Amino acid sequence: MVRVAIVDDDKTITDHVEQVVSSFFTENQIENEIVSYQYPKELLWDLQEKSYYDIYLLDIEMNINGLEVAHAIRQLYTEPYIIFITWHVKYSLKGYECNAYRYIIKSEIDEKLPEALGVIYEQLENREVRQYIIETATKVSKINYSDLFYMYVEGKYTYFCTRNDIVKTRKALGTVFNELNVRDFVYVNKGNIVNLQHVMALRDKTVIMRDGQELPVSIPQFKKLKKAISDYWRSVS
Amino acid sequence: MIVYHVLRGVEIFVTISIGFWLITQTYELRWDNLGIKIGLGTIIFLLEMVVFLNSFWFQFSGIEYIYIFGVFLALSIIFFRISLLKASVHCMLYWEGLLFTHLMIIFACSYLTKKTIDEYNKDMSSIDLVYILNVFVVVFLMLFLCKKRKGKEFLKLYRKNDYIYLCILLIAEWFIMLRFFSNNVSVTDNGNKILLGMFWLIGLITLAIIYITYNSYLAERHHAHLLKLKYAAVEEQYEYILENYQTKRRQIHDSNQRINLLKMYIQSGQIEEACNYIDEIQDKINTEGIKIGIGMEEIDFILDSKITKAEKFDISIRTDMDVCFCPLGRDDLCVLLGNLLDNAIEAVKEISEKGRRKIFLKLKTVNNMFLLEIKNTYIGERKIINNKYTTTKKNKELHGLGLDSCRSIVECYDGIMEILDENDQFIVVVTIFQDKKKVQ
Repeated sequence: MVRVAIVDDDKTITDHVEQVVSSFFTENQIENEIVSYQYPKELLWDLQEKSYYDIYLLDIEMNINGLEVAHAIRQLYTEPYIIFITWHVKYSLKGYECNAYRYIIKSEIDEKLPEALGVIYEQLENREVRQYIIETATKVSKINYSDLFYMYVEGKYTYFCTRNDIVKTRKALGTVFNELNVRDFVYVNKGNIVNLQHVMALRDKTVIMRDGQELPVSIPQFKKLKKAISDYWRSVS
Repeated sequence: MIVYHVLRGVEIFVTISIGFWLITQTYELRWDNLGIKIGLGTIIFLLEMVVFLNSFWFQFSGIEYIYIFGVFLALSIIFFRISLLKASVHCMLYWEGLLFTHLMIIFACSYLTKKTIDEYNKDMSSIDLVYILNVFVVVFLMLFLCKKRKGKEFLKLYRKNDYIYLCILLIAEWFIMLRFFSNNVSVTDNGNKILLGMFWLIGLITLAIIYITYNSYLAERHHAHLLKLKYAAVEEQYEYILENYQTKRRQIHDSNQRINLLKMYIQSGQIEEACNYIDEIQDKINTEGIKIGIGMEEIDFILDSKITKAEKFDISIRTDMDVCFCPLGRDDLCVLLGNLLDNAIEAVKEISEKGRRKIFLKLKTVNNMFLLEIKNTYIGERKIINNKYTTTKKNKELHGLGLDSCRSIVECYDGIMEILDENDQFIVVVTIFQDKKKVQ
């Protein structure tokens, strides 16, 4: 199931884009849900209510700047694909290749949008979902790595702060770190491991997480953390 | 004896007068009227007279300097618009410099004549080679200082902290030098050894002072270079705007012609010709159109101007853009991105095979962070000195300053800049860890 949000203050454009998107999914027999918004604020409200979309099609030149909407989406999620639709001619005039899908000119929607959707769908399909399993006496819970913000240790327990709740397990932080075994996770101090994907910013020797939590970074880790973030996002396309 | 007093008089007159003259070069009087000027002049003259008369009663002694220094500092602060810290550093440096010169001459002469320093200290009142040399060297140095610092500040440090460090070092040096000139030390058994030790200590502190001053000078030079780069960026923007303005004027002119032609076709019923003509125009508009893409004016502007520049050298620039905000201020972005792209273009255009002239630029915002990566191929060898890549440019005058300027901008935002060399590609990676505009 692919969920798509289209945002443009011009209804003729949203209708046209919706038609192109819908025919792409029908042709390729992909289950989908398309929602069109003429007011970016409505989308932002829906996002606050935990709506999730895989693909966003945004007009750059709306009454609220499309870039601001993108920034607001990125405050919540990093995974969705954002495609900007613009009236302007992009750099890829002659000889300049631009990435396949991020910017599409309005006059080229019919031709370029299905192409972009194809690329994105392929990437969505190949996306690996990794989960961490926590077993307690009463239940087994699975946490998607991508929903796991950070971990902290208190007493004999390690607490997992995820997008929706906090789960604990009776394991040492070091053991959990070894079990996670991906480079997305990094120690920021002795008692905290963060998921680099959800590090929003670094400020004054603290790391700011997606849920607004500020965690102190130990002095020896600060330089390493900067390098780790830089390397991590450089390797993620 | 008369010769001694005349020489002493000259020395006092020259040092005190030039000391005040140096302050007047960059600092204004607090009260700018003739009365005050005459008053200050009189006070300076009286000071000189007192110091001169003092030489009849006292022996030449280091202690004297501290009195002159005190009055000098007080007068500077009272009469000139100068802060206490700056005035202290200026006055101390000036008078200690003089004291240090005396010290060097004494040391040099004692070394040459194989007398102990102590003996020279005691012989100061008699006229000898040391004293004559001393006065000549001081007068010569003063004249040299006048020539060099005319219209400039005696000592200009870039950072306020540098003044504080310098102040501490100078105070330490005062104490040691005053001990050096007092006769208590040399009386003890190990007198000469202690004197020698003090001499070396003074030497070390002087080296530290020179180091701080030089560092400050480097920082200032760097700052000046950054300003120059910013100015160049603004100039380039201006030229670009001018060029675009010309193009726009031409386009408006052309479109008027086109409308007239279309009107003519339609009025005469040649609809098919009109349609063909519209298609033709549309193609033209598509190629002439504004090469603007990501909706952030400052980035679009720089990219457009640099892509146009690269086009002239048959360089292809591949971009990967995923940007929705920019934490850098407009001028910082211009210098950073402009400089990096210019560097890349400079390196790539040297490649003889046109097919290999490639630059890859990636801009990405993720969460509240900003990432920039620029890759280019190059020919020749890059040398790594002190973990920095040196320039391959022929003009080595501004040796690697471009990348240094970029680094200092990035550090202003608490970000990091890495320079890598992977698979014969020169790569610069910049990461800024926040979306706020300015840290400092």
